[in-house]
Amino acid sequence: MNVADAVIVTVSLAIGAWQLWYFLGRRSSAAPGEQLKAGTQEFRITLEGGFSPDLVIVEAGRPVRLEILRGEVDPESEHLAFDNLKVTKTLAEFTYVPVEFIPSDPGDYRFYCGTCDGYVVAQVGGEAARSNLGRGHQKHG
Amino acid sequence: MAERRIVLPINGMECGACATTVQRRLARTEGVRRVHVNFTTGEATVLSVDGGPQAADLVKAVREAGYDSGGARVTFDLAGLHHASSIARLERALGEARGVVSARANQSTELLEVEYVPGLVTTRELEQHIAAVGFSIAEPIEERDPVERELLRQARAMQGLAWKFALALAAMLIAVVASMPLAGESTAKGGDVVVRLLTPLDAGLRGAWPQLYQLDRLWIQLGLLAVTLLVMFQSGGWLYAAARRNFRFHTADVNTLIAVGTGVLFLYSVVAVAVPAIWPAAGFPSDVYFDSVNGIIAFVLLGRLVETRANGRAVHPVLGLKALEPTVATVRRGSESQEVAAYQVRVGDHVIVSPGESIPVDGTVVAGDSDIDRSMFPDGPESVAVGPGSRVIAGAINLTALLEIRAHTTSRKTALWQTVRIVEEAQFRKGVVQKRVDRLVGVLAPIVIAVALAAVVLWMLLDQSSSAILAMLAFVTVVVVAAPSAVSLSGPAAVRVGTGRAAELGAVIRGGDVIETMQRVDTLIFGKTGTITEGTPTVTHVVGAKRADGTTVNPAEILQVAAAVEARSGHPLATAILASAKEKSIDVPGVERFVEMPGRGVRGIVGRFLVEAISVRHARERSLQLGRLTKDIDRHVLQSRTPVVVVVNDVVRGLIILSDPTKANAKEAMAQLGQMGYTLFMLSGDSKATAQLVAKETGIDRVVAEVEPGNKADEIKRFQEDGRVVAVIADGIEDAQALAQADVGIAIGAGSEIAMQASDVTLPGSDLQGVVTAVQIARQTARTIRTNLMFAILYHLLVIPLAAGVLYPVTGLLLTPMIAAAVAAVAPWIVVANALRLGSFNPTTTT
Repeated sequence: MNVADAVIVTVSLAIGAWQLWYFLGRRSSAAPGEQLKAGTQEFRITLEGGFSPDLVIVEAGRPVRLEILRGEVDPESEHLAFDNLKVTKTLAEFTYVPVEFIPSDPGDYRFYCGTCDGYVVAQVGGEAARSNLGRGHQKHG
Repeated sequence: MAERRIVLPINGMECGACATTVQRRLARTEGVRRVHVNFTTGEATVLSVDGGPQAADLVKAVREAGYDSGGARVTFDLAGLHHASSIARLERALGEARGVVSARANQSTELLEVEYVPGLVTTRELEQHIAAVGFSIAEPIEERDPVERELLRQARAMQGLAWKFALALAAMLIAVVASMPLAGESTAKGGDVVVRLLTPLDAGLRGAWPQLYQLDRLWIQLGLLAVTLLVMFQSGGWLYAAARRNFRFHTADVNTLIAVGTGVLFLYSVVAVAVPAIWPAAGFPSDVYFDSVNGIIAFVLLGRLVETRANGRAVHPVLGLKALEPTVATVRRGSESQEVAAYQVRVGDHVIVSPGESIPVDGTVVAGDSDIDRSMFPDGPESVAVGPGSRVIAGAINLTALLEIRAHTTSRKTALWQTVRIVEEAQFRKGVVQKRVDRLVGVLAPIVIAVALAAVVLWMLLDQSSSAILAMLAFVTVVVVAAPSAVSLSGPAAVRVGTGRAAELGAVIRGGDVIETMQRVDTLIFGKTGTITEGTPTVTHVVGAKRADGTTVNPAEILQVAAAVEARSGHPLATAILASAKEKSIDVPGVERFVEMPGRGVRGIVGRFLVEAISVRHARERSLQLGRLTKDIDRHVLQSRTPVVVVVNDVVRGLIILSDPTKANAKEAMAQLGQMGYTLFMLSGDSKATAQLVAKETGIDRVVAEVEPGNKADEIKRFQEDGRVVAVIADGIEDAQALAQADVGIAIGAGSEIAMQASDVTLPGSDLQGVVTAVQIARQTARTIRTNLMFAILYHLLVIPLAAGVLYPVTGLLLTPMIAAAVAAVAPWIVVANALRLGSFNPTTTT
């Protein structure tokens, strides 16, 4: 083995080891979510022969933002309104239209267009419920 | 009374018993009529009376039971996901983001579904996370019709790949021809298969075009460099961009391997052109490999073209279902009929369907008599006669005469559309095996690079005489040949085609995880009424008891009081008793203080009397005097009939005998399932004698009888505690708890949305042969996944050593980078083509 061969072998081994470390080595995740703020509860809803999802569960008293994509051209589905909330919106076709409001009290808030409806369900105690998750399973063993 | 349907996501369920717990808690909420909880999908479907509980009340009940209802899901259409081998990385990166509960990607559909906690993360932030990991959201296609949208998406993908491939192919041909004068006396290319194959062409070309051989080598090399650069930017630019993004995020995939392979060859060639003396000085030949670079890119693009086309065909089962529904409908509004888009049909509209047209929505015929073809749900005769009052489903074809139908649903709420939606959702559901495969694929590329570098080292250590250039070629060949996405496509392609074909055959399977669990099932437990039997019992006898004065109670009187209390129950026996009374024109009085006693019967006040219609078992529990009726009971039970005891003011007044015949092909289906190795049980609320007779008649091994509806889930749990993996086949409505507790819940005769939501497998038809079909296609799909995986693994085990040059010492032949690229182009196509075979799967039946 001449010097050039030895260099090739050494470089190959070094690159092999390095790339294994580079690609497979454990590292802390970038966790871009760390900078996120708790607050607005955002949902994407598609309107295409009906709202999908037609039920969203939110925490009462916190801002809600629905982004509604109207995937149909039926003129009846152009206008969106809410019961118990002074919110109305014109839905453009194939575009996400934001609808923002704060449901102050727990309960069901119905939203509808000319052809179908859905519900925003406002609740309290979501964080406690999340932290209690698994308790139900433990109870029945 | 109108019903409201609410579907709630349930978080925190870890087993079937959790589903049963949630189901029981929700059922206790006032105003709730029926509840189904599906452990597999993590959803509860609640039917309540209109004006009943708010969804907020139901969420509260779920939380009180120790679970949660909340969260949200969003689906992103990702560009180029199909060709990435880094699903695990994408899912992991998203899964680690704050507020994200889970992320599931599907390469076959190029969709990413993210479950998140609203308030902790927004959809825009999720998009930022996706971009940060190196993926981009596909441009939305403004097309309302989903079938057209999917076809447009495919056409655009094909078009984009086609011109890139055409350019790379032309460049490859030019490079191969122009490289011939350069190959000349190169020793390094002596073992090159391509060079050997082209030697005759070289001789011919030398004679036909001698001027080519007189051109200056440098000019040829510079020309090839320019052409190759063009191809690398125009045809392969996306590939290098993807590899660069991967590198930034410490990941490697198929694109990385191709980029590394072509990059090494290109840089070597550029140095050979720019400083011709440098390689010979280091012991390397001064060859250029532009032909290989162009060839690799061309073959990679060819592979993706073929794969994209094959994947498009894999979508067709779902598209085929979607295409069954018409896009336009004729609606009668007032005195006028007008043609509208199908999605504009509203509940209550009267829809006119001419012969030859498809029915646009589910509904009831209000006028006209015709035959319809409902072959999309192959559970019975293709042609069915319908008339006023008949229920019809969207997608069926009206055959003979004009029909007027009152719409029950909009076009997006039909049974057919629900089937399509569930089949589409099924693509996201991965079994344990697929999750492991995704993790393996995520680390495959760096391992391949390591193996390729190990090959270089071995070449240098073992073959002292060979040129180092052969080691470099072996390196490139290994990384190129190991690049195909066959491993990652093995499962998704098969699940996609398998669930699509199952839906075509009338079995809606919820996903890859269900298919996987079905392979472990060893025990099938059938419900009786409506599952093994027709579920539509009829009254065959009414027997009056002897009064104290020796007279016999009038059968009409017995039927009258029994019908009065049964009128408020939805049980099939109650329906039959009521129908019998009406048929005999018996006036049915009203009932007050009605009480349903699950598994025991019903009671209520009729006039001044307490009337009960109860089971024989319950009558015996209460020590009611049956007298000579005992003989009648025994006689009818021995003929598989069900007696109902009618009691007035605690005195037995008579019996109503009902018969529910077993389904026509139940015996054949049981025999087939028995031959497949399953232990068959029947779980019934009926008396032991009746249940055992039905079981014997149909060939079921064992019976668990006299089980109250509320205890069926506990019975299933006992089977599971004995180590059995259980599939329950039952009526989706009456046996919801048993279905929820089962490892696999199969709802039979369940075309409604609620039943589909509740079960892991839904059989819209009532034919038990559907169970055989579901089991067979699930087994076939699992077999296809295994075959695909085995092929993909064998492929890597076989071609990597070949590419590394194990045959070179014996044969003197080397697999070259260009041949490796061609081989790699074929591998994914084989996997997808194997999955496509499921599209023509037909179950074997004995009927």
